Amino acid sequence: MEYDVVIGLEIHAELKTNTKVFCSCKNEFGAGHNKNTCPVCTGMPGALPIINKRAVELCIKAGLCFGCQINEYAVMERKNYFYPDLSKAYQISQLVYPICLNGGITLENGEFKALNRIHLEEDAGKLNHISRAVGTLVDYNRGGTPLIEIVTEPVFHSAEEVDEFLKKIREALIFADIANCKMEQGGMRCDVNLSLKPQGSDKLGTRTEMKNLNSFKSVFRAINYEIERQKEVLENRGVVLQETRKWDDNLGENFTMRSKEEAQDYRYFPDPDILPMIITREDIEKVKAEIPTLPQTRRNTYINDYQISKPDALILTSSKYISDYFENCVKIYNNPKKISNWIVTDVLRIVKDGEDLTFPINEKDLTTIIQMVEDKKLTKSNGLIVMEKVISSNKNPEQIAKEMNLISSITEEQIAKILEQFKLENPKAVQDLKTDPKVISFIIGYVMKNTQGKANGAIVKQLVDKMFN
Amino acid sequence: MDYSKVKICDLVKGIKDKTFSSESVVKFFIDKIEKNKEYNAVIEVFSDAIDKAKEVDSKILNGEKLGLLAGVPVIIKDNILAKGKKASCASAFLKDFVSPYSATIVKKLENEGAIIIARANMDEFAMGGSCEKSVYGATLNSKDKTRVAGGSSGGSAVSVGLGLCPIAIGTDTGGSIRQPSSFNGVVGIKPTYGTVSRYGIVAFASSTDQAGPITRTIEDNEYVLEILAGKDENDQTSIENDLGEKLIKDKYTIGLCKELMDKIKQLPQYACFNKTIESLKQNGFDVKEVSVPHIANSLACYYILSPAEATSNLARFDGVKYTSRSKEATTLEEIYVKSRSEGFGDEVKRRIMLGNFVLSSGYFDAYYKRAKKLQVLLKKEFESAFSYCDVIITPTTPGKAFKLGEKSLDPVSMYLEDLFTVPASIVGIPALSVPYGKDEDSNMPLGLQLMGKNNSEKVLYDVAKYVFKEEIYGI
Amino acid sequence: MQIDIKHLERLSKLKIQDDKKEKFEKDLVKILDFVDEITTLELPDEDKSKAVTLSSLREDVVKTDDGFDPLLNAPKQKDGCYQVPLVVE
Repeated sequence: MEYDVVIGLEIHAELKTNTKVFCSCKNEFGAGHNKNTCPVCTGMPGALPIINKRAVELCIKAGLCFGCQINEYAVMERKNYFYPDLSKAYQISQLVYPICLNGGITLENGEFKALNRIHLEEDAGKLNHISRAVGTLVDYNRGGTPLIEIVTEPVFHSAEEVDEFLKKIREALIFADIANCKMEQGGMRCDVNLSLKPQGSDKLGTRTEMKNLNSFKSVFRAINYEIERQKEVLENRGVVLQETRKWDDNLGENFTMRSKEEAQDYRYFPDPDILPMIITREDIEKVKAEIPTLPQTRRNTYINDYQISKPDALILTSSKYISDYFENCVKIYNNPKKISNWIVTDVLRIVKDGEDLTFPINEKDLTTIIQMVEDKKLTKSNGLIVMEKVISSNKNPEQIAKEMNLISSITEEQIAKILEQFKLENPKAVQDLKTDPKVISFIIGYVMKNTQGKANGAIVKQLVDKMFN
Repeated sequence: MDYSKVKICDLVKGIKDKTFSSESVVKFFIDKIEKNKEYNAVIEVFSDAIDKAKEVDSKILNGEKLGLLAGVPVIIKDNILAKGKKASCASAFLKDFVSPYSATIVKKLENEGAIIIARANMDEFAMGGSCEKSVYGATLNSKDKTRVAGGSSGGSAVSVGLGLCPIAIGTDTGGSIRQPSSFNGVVGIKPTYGTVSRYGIVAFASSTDQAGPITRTIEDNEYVLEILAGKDENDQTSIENDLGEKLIKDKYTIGLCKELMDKIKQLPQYACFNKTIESLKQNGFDVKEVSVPHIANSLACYYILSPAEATSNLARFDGVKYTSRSKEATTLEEIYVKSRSEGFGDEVKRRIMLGNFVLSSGYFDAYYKRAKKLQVLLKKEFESAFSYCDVIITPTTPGKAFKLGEKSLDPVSMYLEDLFTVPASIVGIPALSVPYGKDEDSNMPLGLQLMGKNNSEKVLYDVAKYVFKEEIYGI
Repeated sequence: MQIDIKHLERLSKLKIQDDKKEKFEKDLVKILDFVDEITTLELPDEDKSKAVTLSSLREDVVKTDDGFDPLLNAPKQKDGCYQVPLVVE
């Protein structure tokens, strides 16, 4: 039998705030055990949560990025369950009145994938499972880190769709400065709910849940594994159990973690320590003003208006920094295609890949060089030499070109004309060019004489190579 | 010198004027605590108290500026955290717990120069109305050792009732300051919800928990409340409250709650209550009936909301971070179940399970959600009643302090004790209990409860002066 | 009113001693009967008036309390962490 695959996602992303969501402790990855803690995030008796305004704003911002409706009334609730990574034995989250509802994003094939909600909650602490002898060690540094949970409708049908969706979500969150989404640090995690149903059937099958997948690759593999597993169960006339399954990335398979019978009753209720929030039009406008044009829109402009190739457009929008840099350059010198070429092939070649990507040359200097090359004042290779010198010397491009005597004050066309003339007058010399190294000096001397010494020797050499070989 | 009947402002004045030293005052009260150990009001006298008093005295000698409670001893309930000192909530589970930080009110008291001398007994985790449910054993009533102290702030009320301190801090979630104050002939207030910061006070039911002072006189009470009150950046539910300074006037209208009058008329103390009404009238006050139609449903509302919140608030006591861990536990699940089963007493367990029932799937809408709506209705009804009067009076409790053990077997009969105190907790309004009479047969003190609209504490104090019987303290 | 005391024990992470179970159940049922009146009252909608604006919320500024020791009361600790038996996920 053929089956339809139905997948829904819950995506968690840690927000980029200075402090935790309910206390003023530093929100920071990798500090010493329990160093960034206080009575609130360690769940000390009598401690009370004080909600971080910025975390609320960033949740609104995420909602605006994905076209959500922002609720004017939002409530924090307690989700009650015991686990050692949860210092209060409840997680402060949202249920009935989340900050954002609905929304969604469109995939490359034009299909719209709908969100159910985005809500604000706190992350749990970290458990380090050492050994049977030592046991598990509990560290609350991460406890209370602000998270958004993005919940989709069950609208995905393949691992490929999910992969594209997740990458788009991540790209937007990073671009809008909402989250770092460092997946290797757990900055973005994904829960996958998956079920199969006979093709064309209206009735959803029983779903399983896989929690905390923390790389695109494991999401992809876990989905395909689970599709095959459920298929096999159904084809053997078995029953898919509603359960939580844990994905093991090393083994490449998943196994039962918790069945429905053990399913938790979270006993959600509004947190009496945190007052409900009113989100006004003005709050939303203020956040909206912070949101940059998102990569999808920028790519469309680059491809359709600037005639930049799709691969290059993807590179230019791979980070907000590169994209902003590119757009600044275009503002200074309106030649997007050439600028794109320079950035993609020449500038990115010399910068190191890293998290805090910055280019070692500013927009003004780069465009000056590009313009000089385009105006034939510099050859492309001299342009690159100037760029390297600008980076190492802090001087401006014109100055360097002049000092290094790289500027061609007469154009290549003029030189070419003179060379044509030379060829007519000295056919023998042209023939001897390959064998007699003195001839090139003779040609340069000829050009210099005919240009009152204003020609650039290097350019003459290049043109000779091109024209006479 | 006997400092136990000196007004707080006179104590401060005496200490600042060097008429007597803080050291002598603190020593006097600690000595008295030692002599009254049989009442079991105090769990622990803090060993640094006398040194702190000496510090105050030397500051005075050096001419340093001192606060409004310079050198005055204070006893705090055992659920209030003072950094470096133990706070156990009278529970086996927290018997060795040392506070890692100080409650906002402790800081406020200390900033004013107060000396925290001891921690007072209570019902475990503030759940109870007799102060019998403590791991340290029952506190005995200050007027009759065969009777209960009342609760849950029994240790605090008895401490003031015996003159072991001029100020005791209690907490009140459904009557836990007012009821023991009434049973011990002292003055206790539950301020408007949010007036006193909850930060650093072990939570029972977050939406009704309020701390407040217990004192010998009305004047003392007002003096301390002014210090405790104020918005705190560590408690989002705290409020700015001027305590109703501008609402003070010459004559007030007193309300009698129509729906409670049948019950009140059946009480043995009705004669006393009636006499009070007459005397208020003689003082020129208007007395009229007002209506709070659902007031009798407050108890149901309270016994749904408070266990629900308590269940969640007490879940953090899990044997992982600070509560004692069962020695028999070898797995995580055993740490949870065994530690909690060994650590909590039966009343606490009962309320945790009750809370889980009303929050659990299938019952949440019928119980918790409806209780929240009833709370809204009650707030509206009280608001409307206060458009006809300034203060509503009731007895604080249905009767005098009962005998030890009398009600400890039947939780519902114990819960009914809270009939008059719970409404103010549910709607958040201030309520003051002052000694206003004695039970004819037993000579035990009785308290009158005065409820006012939000942020009108000074009105309550003002009216209370007309009914307050200072002499009851000396029974 | 019927209650499933086992389920409540599970949710509460409590184990009531066998000899006390009956009394516990009886008391809980009695309390629930006592509050049952709430299920039949005519009630208004929930109150949304006590909400606060975003401007009143805490600013995102780091504050540290150097004197705080998270492990002061830890029943068991190692390497700056609370220690529990190995949790099998």
